[in-house]
Amino acid sequence: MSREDVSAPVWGEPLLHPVCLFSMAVWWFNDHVGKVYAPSALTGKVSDVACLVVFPLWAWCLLDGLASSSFPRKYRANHALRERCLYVVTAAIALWFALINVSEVVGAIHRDLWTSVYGVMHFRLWQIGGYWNPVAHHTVDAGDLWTLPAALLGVWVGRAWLMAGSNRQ
Amino acid sequence: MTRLRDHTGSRRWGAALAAIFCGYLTLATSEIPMDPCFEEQSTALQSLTHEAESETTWWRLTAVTPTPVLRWHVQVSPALSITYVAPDGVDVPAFAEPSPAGLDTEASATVGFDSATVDTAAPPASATSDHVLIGVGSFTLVCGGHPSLCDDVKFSVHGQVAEEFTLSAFAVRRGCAPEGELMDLRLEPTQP
Repeated sequence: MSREDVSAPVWGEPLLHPVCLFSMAVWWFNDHVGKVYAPSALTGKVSDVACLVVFPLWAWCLLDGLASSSFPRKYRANHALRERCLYVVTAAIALWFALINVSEVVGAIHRDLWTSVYGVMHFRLWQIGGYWNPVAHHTVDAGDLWTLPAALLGVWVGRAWLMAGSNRQ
Repeated sequence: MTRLRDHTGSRRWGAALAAIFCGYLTLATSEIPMDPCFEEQSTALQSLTHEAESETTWWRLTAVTPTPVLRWHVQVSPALSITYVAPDGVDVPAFAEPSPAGLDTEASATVGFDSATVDTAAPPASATSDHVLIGVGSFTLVCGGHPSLCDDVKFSVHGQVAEEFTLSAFAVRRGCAPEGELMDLRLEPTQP
């Protein structure tokens, strides 16, 4: 007896798209290997590209999943709304990225926010006997604005997933 | 065409792992150079002897270094009273535990996530306000989540007029430096 495909939509599934997986791999490699052993202008930009592809999508997946669980009828079934949410989240993150790279003030705020986050993580790790003390660095660099179009890839992946999900139903 | 297998379970695991990895990347690596070299290097500042012309003298510690300073250790001999002043807007804990012998790891210090912790030698320090701590003899400034606090350290030493004392300090910084690269420490008199 054959079974029909009953695969249900899965939280975070867009992150399994090859574009996202490749971006994550590049991101990790660039930060752990490229920037350390062969720093250059390229390594300074590659991580930004990868981040802009993956991070807005990740943030949207989180919000989308929470909203879908909380409001299954109003939100989950409304693909137009979910798509708009994807655009808004991506635009907000892209805007923040642009601001931190053109404004010293916003860049400093960004750095302080991460410093606080890392401070908490460092403290908590220390409490359980671990040690990790990353240092928040951020350089305001208007040249990073050239990487902004990478965010469109994440939007493309998200939209494709939404459309595939609606086709399944 | 129907599929014979439901992949929802494995997709869930995959998506969860991908999400966790993405979160890790965001927190751990974005704009953060993961320095593979966690060794810390210290440079001793030359001791100086100062004949105080007033009861309170103010001092400023800075370091020119390509990697952030993680902590400073300052010692005054004889053990005079020291007042550490945190930068405006930064609170330090209202207490400080006695500093252990020598500089130890972060595990021996209390690290606040949004403030610097100042450990002073016995007796324990007291707080006169949110961002001023008074102790005796020596202090260790562990900057924890705020490495920028170690960029510019201000403190005062209280003693008798014309009393001689010796100040010494050394800094611990992050990461490996290229061979031959030195860290330039400066200890200068300053104003309140």
